[in-house]
Amino acid sequence: MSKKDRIQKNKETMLGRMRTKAGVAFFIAIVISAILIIRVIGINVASGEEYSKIVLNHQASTSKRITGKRGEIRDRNGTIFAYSKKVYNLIIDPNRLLSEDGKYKEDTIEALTSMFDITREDIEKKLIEKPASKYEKMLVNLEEEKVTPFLEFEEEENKKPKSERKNIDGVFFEDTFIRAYPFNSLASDTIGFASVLNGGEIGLERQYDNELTGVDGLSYTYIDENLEVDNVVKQPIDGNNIITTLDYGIQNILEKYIREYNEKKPSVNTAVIAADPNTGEILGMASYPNFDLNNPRDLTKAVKPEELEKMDEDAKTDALYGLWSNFCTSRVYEPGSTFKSITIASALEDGKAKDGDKFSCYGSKYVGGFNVGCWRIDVGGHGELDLEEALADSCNVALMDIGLNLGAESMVKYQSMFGFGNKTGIDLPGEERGIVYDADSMQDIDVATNSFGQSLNVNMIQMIGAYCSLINGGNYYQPHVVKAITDSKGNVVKTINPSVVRRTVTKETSDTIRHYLESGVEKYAVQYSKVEGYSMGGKTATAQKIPRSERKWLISVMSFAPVENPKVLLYVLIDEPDGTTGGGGDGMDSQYLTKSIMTELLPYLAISRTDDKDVVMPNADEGNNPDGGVDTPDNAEEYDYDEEDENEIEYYDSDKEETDDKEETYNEDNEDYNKEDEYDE
Amino acid sequence: MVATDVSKFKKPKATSTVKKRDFLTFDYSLFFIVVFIIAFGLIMIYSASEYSSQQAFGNSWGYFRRQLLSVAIGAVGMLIAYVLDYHIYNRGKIPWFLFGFSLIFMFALFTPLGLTVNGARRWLDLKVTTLQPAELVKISVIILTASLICLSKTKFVGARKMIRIFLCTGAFPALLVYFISSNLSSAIIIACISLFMTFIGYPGYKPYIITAIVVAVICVFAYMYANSASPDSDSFRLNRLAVWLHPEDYAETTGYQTVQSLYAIGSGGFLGKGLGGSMQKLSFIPEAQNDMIFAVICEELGIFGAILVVSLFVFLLWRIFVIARKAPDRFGMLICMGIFFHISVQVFLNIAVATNLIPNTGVTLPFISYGGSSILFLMFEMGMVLNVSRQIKEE
Repeated sequence: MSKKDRIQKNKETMLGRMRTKAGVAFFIAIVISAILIIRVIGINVASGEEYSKIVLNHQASTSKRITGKRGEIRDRNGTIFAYSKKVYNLIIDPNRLLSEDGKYKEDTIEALTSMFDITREDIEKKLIEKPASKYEKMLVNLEEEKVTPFLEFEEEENKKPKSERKNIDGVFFEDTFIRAYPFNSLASDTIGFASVLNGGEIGLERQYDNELTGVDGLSYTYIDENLEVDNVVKQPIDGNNIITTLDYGIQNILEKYIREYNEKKPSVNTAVIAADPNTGEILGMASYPNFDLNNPRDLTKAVKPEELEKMDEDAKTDALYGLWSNFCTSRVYEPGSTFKSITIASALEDGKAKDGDKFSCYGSKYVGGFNVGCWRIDVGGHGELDLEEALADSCNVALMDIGLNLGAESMVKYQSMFGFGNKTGIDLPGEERGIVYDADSMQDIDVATNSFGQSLNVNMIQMIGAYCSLINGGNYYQPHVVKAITDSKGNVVKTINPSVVRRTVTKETSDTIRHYLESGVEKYAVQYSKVEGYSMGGKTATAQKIPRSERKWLISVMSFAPVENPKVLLYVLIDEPDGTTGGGGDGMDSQYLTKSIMTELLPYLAISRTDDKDVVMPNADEGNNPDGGVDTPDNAEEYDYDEEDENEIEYYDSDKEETDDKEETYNEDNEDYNKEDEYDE
Repeated sequence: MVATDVSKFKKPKATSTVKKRDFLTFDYSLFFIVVFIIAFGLIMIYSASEYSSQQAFGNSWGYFRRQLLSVAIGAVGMLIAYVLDYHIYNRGKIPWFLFGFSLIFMFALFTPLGLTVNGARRWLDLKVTTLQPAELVKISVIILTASLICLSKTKFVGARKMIRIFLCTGAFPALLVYFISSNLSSAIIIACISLFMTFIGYPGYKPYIITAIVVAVICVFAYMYANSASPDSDSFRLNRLAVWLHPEDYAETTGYQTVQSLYAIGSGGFLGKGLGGSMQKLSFIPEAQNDMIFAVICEELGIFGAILVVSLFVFLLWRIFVIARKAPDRFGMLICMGIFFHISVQVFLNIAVATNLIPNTGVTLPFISYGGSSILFLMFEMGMVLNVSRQIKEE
């Protein structure tokens, strides 16, 4: 028993020790518990805020952008050129339609198929494919008129007592916007178009994309603490509206006559700009060919079907970009004789010429190894003439004298002052700066040819900007096409006031040039642009395109009215007019086009007629033009010949006999005439 | 011969005690805290599984109902364990029989009965219900370890003997569980139960302090190694350590569960988002009703909820500890402490994983996490402890 007792005692001892050890174990357990609680508190303190936000984001189980409405583009009087139209997408909620034993399915499908262009098969197929989905887009771009009847029907049914009503549910509409251009191709190059993906692609749509684009809103559904699906909508902010300087009426007049002309005689390009010389505002700007803004990627109107078939993707892209490019800002060309006003104004400013200066023209002038001709070379030149006649009758020889007298340095300085060689900064994308000489690299021949607008490249807007300042008394305004920006409710956000960038000429020079140009319209080369009953000034140009051997022409007329205090400046340009190639065609087209446009434009602008006034009055006012009378008959004779009114410059070797050469080439080109015609078509 | 003497000597005494005492005399505190924890667990399972249950069953109570059924079966098990005198487990070769039986169940995983879920072969398909044999191994390890320690007739069990006991009842079944079912967490729990029980039985502290220091040093080295290692290492274990250190860097892949759990805990604040208010359970925390239920509790009930849960377990452990101290003999005491360690190790590992204190390993939170086998055996164990509490001699 003592052994048993001993064992029992040993067991008791061991049990006692084990109790102590159990206490140790329990103590350790408490310590670990405390550590764990501290850890939980630590996580909350250190990262609680951050984690709460992350978890909150988890709550937003779905979120959807709501596109803000893109702003409108309007003309100066409020006519809408471009706007965004609200359309609806039809969405079904298969999960809802199949819930409650398909209680809603039959009635809803019936209503949908009767009111929308959708078949029962389409819906049932979707219900089988995606039974758990809560969002399936079925139809897109539905007009509001299509959607309203359904919503009204659903509302009416829900008002009825439960037993009678049709169970309509699980259908909703999400709204979106499409861009619409009510006048299709009107001012297409200027307005441009916008795509859903990229926003503004070209033109004003691109230039003012940031203004036009609204701020997108957000709609998100989340699951709240009661496990209910909640929907929160943050409303979008609509984009701003752009008020352009364009005038719908003027734009319409310009495009009407461009279209008429090109229907008869398709040109490579016909571009017209009408501007207010006192502000630099562009009133109308159009170029042919244009395109339908509602369908900008359609080439079928611009390209013949058989040619379209031959084109590969790259060629089509090139053709589209060609179509989309705005001739008025993006093409550069040699301006020709319209540039003469710039040269003469520069010389007047520089004191290198003054009203009444005399020049002699014998048909050509030998400069730096080249014999450069005047357009009257065939009849032995202009003879004696003064400064007014040099501009009004467009004498190359006199202009070369003036240019060489002015010198390369001054010429370059004034060209720059008039804005040539630099972008005007017009608020349209893709403006080209053109090419002018710098004074150091300028040879005499360059000075000579520059003086009458050859061997330098300008764009139409540069010409508009320069001429505005030339005729408005010397204020160079930055040409612009946007007048104001308003918010979606019409409150003005920003007004773009015409700003004088710099002074180009004095008022006296401006007056002189205006009257010289009036003389051109009244008595000389620009007569065919004259609208009876209005005082007008103008200058024509017939520039030969490079390579000269192709004998392709770019004809233009710069005109304005009235002569005193001009209200409108019109620049008409025809690139490769039908029939001028080869010299046998009608170089007068640009003048006829100018006249057509001006005939409608001047009354539209309510410019007062001068019928009761003596038309020669302004010319007489100049007073100091003694040789005018001598030259007039010559000029009149000239027009009877119906010859080209402009110079042709040939960089022939001086040894060659220029006249013969010219004759020959003309003949050749006449023979080729039909061929060219075919090509153009 | 001596061993049978002991049991003969003990048995009548113990039975007489039971017979003398009322059937309903037991540790009420323990019973009620168990009921409370289980009820709390059921509520939390309903809340946490509401969403995933919708996905799986089409209603919000699918997981809850299954767990309720497991609790009902567990209650029967608890009653049986309560009625059965705990000395039965130590009678003759019964501990060895139970141990062998549980290991055979482990091997049964190789038979067609073995069920592979999520790539892990851990369940036995018993047609009526599924069973995790590892849970059975845990309880048999507790019984065998207690039994082996009680064999000692001297005042203490020697270190060499203790090592042998540990190798037999801890290391061996742990390795077996690990290699058969690649269930690292169960292996760790089994090894820990056995190790800590030998700590109770061993007279001194020295070998255990040394072991603790060695483990700590290994952990520090592992930490430093993982910190210096390149994160794109091929090694799976190393990768697991890297995920532990920088879970945000792996938020889309292996660190997803940990990161989502941290988000849930961190976003709870002091009082949480209210019961049922968890956002993270909405498919962000994978199996929110399972291993990561603690994160949902923290999110819905906040720091307050975390303290509540830990306090409940501390109270439970305290009651088990009190019963162990008052246990009439060494076997009862060791059974209680084995169960004490089983519960505490699982609670601590689970919460430590949820709070990213240790690398992610799948451990369920006792009584609270969803899982039939776990709650069944835990409730049986509680019945055993309550049976021990019945036999406490009033002093």
